[in-house]
Order: sequence, then C-alpha cells, then structure tokens
Amino acid sequence: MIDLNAKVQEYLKTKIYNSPRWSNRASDAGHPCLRYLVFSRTKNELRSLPTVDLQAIFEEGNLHEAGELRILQDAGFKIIEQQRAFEWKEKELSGHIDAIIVDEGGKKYPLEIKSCSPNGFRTIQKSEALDLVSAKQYWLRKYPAQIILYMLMGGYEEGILWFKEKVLGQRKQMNVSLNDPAVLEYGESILKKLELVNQMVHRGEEPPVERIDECQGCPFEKTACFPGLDFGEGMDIIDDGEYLLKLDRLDELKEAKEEYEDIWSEIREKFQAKNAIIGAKWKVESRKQERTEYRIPEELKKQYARKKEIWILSISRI
Amino acid sequence: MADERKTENLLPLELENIIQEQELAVADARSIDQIVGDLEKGVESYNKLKQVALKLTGPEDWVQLGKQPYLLESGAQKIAKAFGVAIFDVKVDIQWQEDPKGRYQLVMAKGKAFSRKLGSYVEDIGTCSQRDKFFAIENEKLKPIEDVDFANVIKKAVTNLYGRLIKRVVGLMGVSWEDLDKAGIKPGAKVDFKEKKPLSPEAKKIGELILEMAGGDNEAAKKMLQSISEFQTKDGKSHYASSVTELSELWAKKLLPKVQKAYFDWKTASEPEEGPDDRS
Repeated sequence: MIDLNAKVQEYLKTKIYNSPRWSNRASDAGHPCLRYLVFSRTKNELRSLPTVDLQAIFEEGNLHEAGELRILQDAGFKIIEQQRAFEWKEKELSGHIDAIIVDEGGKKYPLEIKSCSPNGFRTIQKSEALDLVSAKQYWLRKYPAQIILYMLMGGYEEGILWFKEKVLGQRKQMNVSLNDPAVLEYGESILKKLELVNQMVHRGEEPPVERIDECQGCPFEKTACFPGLDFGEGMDIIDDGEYLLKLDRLDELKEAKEEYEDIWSEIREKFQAKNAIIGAKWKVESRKQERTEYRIPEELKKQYARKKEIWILSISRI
Repeated sequence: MADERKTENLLPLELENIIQEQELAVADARSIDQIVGDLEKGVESYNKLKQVALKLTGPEDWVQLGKQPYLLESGAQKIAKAFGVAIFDVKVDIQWQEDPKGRYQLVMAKGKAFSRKLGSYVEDIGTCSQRDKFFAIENEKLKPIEDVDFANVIKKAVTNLYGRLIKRVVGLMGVSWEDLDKAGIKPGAKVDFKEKKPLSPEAKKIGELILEMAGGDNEAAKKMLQSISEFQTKDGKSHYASSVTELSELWAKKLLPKVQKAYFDWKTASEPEEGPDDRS
C-alpha cells in the first residue's frame, strides 16, 4: 500500500532550510529581543531549524493564505501584487507583503493574512492591532510591526491584518492606520530599534543575554544565547488530610454543579414571566424587577481601563 | 557509557546530603540505632518525593531507551516547575574529534542547576556530536559533516544537559518501570527504540541483489523489497519490509531464495537472446 504520510513527511523535510539574511525582516521586526534581531543577521547559521511538525504548521499557514486570497477574490475584491517584495535600503529592511487589496473606490491597502488556532483567535477577537504587541501568545506580538512597516515602505496610510481561525473558519479584520498617533509612535519605536540593530551589526557587537518570555522556544535559545531556564518558586508539597478531603469533595461536586447550572438555565427560560405549581410539590414564581443598566460608550470605557493583577486558581488531579 | 552508569548509580543528592549530615553528626550523642532510624526516615521521604515527581508526568513523557524508561524534555519541565528548578551558567565547548571515518565536532554543554524546594545543587554536562545518528545518518550512510546542521547538534547537547540537570537535581536518575507503575504511569506508553543489530549475511545479500536489480536506485529498491517480501498472515493482514534492517535473521533466511530466483530471472531476461548470427 502506498504510504502517503511518509511521502508528505519527506516533502516537508525538503522545505526546512536556513538561508543567510542580509537585512532586517519586516516579519521579525516586532521581536522584542535585540540579540535575536542582531543574530538573525550575523549568526543566522546558528538558528535551529524547525521540526517537521512546526514546518507542517507553516505550510498550513501558506495553504490558508492562498485560500483566503481566493475567497476574497470570489467575494468580489480586487487583489493585486501578491507576494510583492518591499525594500527600505536606509533601514536595511525588506519583506514580502501577502497582497494589496483594492476597494470599490480604487483605494489600495496592504493586506497581511494570518491563520491561527481557536485559542489564538480568542485573543484576536477581543483585541485591536496594538493590543497584540502585549498578547500572551508571543507570535502574535510581531504582527502589528509587520503591517506597519509594509505601510511605511509602500507609502500606504492604512493597512489590514486579516485573521482566519483554522477550525471553524471564523475571520476578523483589524484595521491599522498611520493617522492613529499610537500606531505612528509604535512604528517609530520599531524603526529606532532597527537602527540600533544596524549599528550593532556594522560594529560587530552582540547585545547582552537577557532572559525574556520569548527565549523559550527561540531558535537561538539553545544554540547561541544559553540564557538558562528558571521554572519559578516551585510548589509546596503538603500532606494535609483536611484539604485533601476538601479537594476530593470539590471534585465530586463539580459534576453536580454543572448539572445544577444547566437545569437552572432551562427552568429560568421555561418559566420566565410565569407562575406555576409543579407536581403539587414545587412553586415557581417569576417576578419582574427593574435594574439600572449603564451603557458606556467604548471610547469612554477605555479611558477608565486599568490593568490589575489577579490570581487565577486552577485545580487538576495529578 | 561506563561513567554515565557510575553517575546514575550515585545516591540521589538529597540523600547524599542527609548522609553527609549524619556523618558529621556522629560526634554527637546519638546512638547508631538513632542514626539508622533517621536515615530510614530520609529514604522514606525521598521515595515519597520521587513518587510525587513521577506523578507529575504522564505516559506521553516517557519512552523506552534500551531497557529503561527515559524521561523526555516535556516531562522534565513538568517536574522542574514543581521543584522550583533554575538552570544557569550554561556554557558550550566545541571540540574536534577524530575516528576512522574522519574528523568531526563534539559539543559539550556544561551548566548548573538548583532546586529551590529541595535545596539541592548539581553541575553536569550534556553532549552531542556531528556523528549523532539523528543528524548524521541518511539512507543508512554517514553524511559529510558539512551537511550536518551544526545548530541542531548544539541544541541537542544543551537539551541533553537540561534533561540531565533537572533529573539529577530532583534525584530522578535511574527510574525503573516499577517506579512508573507505582506512580500510575502505565508501561503501555513504552516506545521501543530498535537496537541496531548487524545485518545477517542473508539480509546483506538480499540488499545487494535488490539494489542491483533496481539499478542502484534506493527508492526503487525499497519498493522492490516491499513487493518481494510481502506476505499475508492468517487474519488477512499484509506485512512487508521497507528496508533490509527490518528483516529478522529467520525472515531473511526464508526470503533469500525468493530474491535469488527473482535475481536469476532478471539476469536471464536482461541478457541478449541467442539468435542467428547476422554478422555475416
């Protein structure tokens, strides 16, 4: 019998390679680590190659990109200049934009297509472009810089990040505008960082090792930087009979709690605005009550948004 | 290898500490019975700790290497988190080595680790070379060293170092299948890494004949071997070998006459037929 998987694995292996980089890449420019950006140009041979599994994810991304371009065209949009190469010599910067999309009025927008997992998409759904810079998933953090640099290199005021969730096919459009001062400021910070990278590359300098979130899984982590690993404070190993029993009981009640909530929702829906006696045993009453609702415009809400630290407790059986 | 085994047979670090403390304390007034009792308690708490550490891993974190269970990086990281392990001072040293096949580079990664929870500290070494079977062997042949991705070699040495440091700092070297069973990790998760045995003369011969029939084309030879070795078991399932390394000694012995016949037929068919001499 023919072995499809073996052949596909062999093919994927041929797609894994490393090539020298003579310039900064727009797709990487949002990376927060200077050392990563410098090494990408000076020691790229030490970049560890992706595994076949990771390469399969990259290929999946390419397939989704092609599919999205087709669906946008089928939906009536004009797509031009697919995989157009950009270069900004003074900044030693280059990149390939997925496409330029043209609206009914003939206005052009650089378009960057990203496919993502359901988990990543949840973050994307509740984010605006610049929120991604501090996203939990570090690969999302580089997207804003990428589209902003394409806009700056191509002279476009506005650009689009187009996301597709790979399982259910949900989509989200994120508009990025250079008229937004925050976007402009972020774009300038990226350019300044790239200038610093260029200076270090020309002087043959290596930025010092500084351990950050992005280190774990970075292609230079175990080949050029060796920042070590810190797994934190550790866990207390406690032999406490009382809490052992309470945790066991909590686990037993979990199923009952879920069932309780399901039945409660069903009953609430069924008896909304009704009063009833059921089976001569239960009395169900529905009372109308007035509540004050505050509908605060998003813009106003944002002004009062503050980040605060909270502790999230999760319990799992080992 | 001998050195490695020696290291693995050392007492877990926590236990070493306990013993050292006990030795220092001999001067005090404790009786031998008391010292032995304390030691037993130490062993007991170490075993308990070991069980906790193992329970943090799952079947997917273990494979069988040789005859022993081997903890993968994924599992080592789960354990490291629980015991507050920090790895630091990682340095890489690259050395040239030579063997009958030529010169190659060996990467030695050195580093230190401590566990905040256990108060233990270790130093260790992880190695990998351009002769590593995962990077250096292609189609059962040794690749030239310039074709072996050196970044991968360094990465593997460092990964090996991290694994060793974590296991040693929490005292988890030399885990047995019995230990895993006790922790509720079923041996069903075993993955057998086939140990490479030298080819039997029959398997070697089969390889030579098939490769010749395939005109030296490895891919064609693989297909030919699959077809010629295919057989069905009573349940109707089909089995075949894709490489001569998959042939057991007995299978190769049974298969060789069939391959020799195919070779003879092929040879006869490819020789020009005798006909009337038309040179005249």
